[in-house]
Amino acid sequence: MNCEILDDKLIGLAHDELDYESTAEASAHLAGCPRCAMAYCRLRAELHGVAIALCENRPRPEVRVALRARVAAAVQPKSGARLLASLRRPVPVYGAVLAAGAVALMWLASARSRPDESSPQPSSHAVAIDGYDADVHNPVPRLVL
Amino acid sequence: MSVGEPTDEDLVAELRGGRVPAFDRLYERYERRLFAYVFRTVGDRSLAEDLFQDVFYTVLVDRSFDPARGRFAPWLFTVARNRCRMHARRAGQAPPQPIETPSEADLGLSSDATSVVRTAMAGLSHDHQELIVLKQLGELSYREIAQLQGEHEGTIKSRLHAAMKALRRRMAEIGEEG
Repeated sequence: MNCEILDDKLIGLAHDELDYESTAEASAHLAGCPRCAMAYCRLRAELHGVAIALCENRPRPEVRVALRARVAAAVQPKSGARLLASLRRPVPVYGAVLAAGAVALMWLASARSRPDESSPQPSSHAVAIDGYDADVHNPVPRLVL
Repeated sequence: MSVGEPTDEDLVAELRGGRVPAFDRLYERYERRLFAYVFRTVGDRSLAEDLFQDVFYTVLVDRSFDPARGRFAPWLFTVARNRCRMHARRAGQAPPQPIETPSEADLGLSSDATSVVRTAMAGLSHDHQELIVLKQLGELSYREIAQLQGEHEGTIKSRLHAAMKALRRRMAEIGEEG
């Protein structure tokens, strides 16, 4: 590739629009030709300057605030839709709910099979405590004749 | 865009999934570029802001853009172009209208280099201005610009090269005059 051919391709190269082969040839030429390399650098700088000069303006900040609020209202689901979405959630949520239900059922079943400990048990004997005999410490007075 | 940054299309998908922070990143990427395109096309700041909002909202919320099937930027600029043309038709102008160059006060010229670019752009034809804006601001490929304008890619390539050469020549002339 010579300087004249490269000059025709310089804009395409700067725009990254050349095919692989042409890009490789242009790059090889630029590496060995200071004049073309300088022209290429100047072109890149000019294109960058054009982009900066063209987008110097921006909308007022209120535009962003208003637009954000509109977009948020449109993309965030409503409460009804959120409930529906939670019901549509697949296996993991249902699995967790079923597991919690199974635990609750097991607890209920074991509670029913136990004797009712809340009502007082009638008993004629003294309370028995390990290692303690109430009759020894409080003997029944004997009738002495 | 640096490595690891989400693409525009990723952000659109996130946003549509209800994650509003994705909006902020997309807005920062396109705020100046899209506004500049619309502002240059309609030439009025207030109207440009209305159209800018309308276009951005439509593209983000309207499901006619599928982020899994195409790039966001060409779609955004296509919608912007159509809205600007629609507005021109409603206003009784025959599209395409020449791009009105906003006044220096509107543009807030801040440097000689910026002034040179703007003056040089103002001297170009409507077609050349639009091509340069779509390429340099929209960062669209030749193919994407061709699809947007309904032209062949080769036609766009030769027109854009001619536009860039004219712009550079004009900038050099203004630089010599100054």
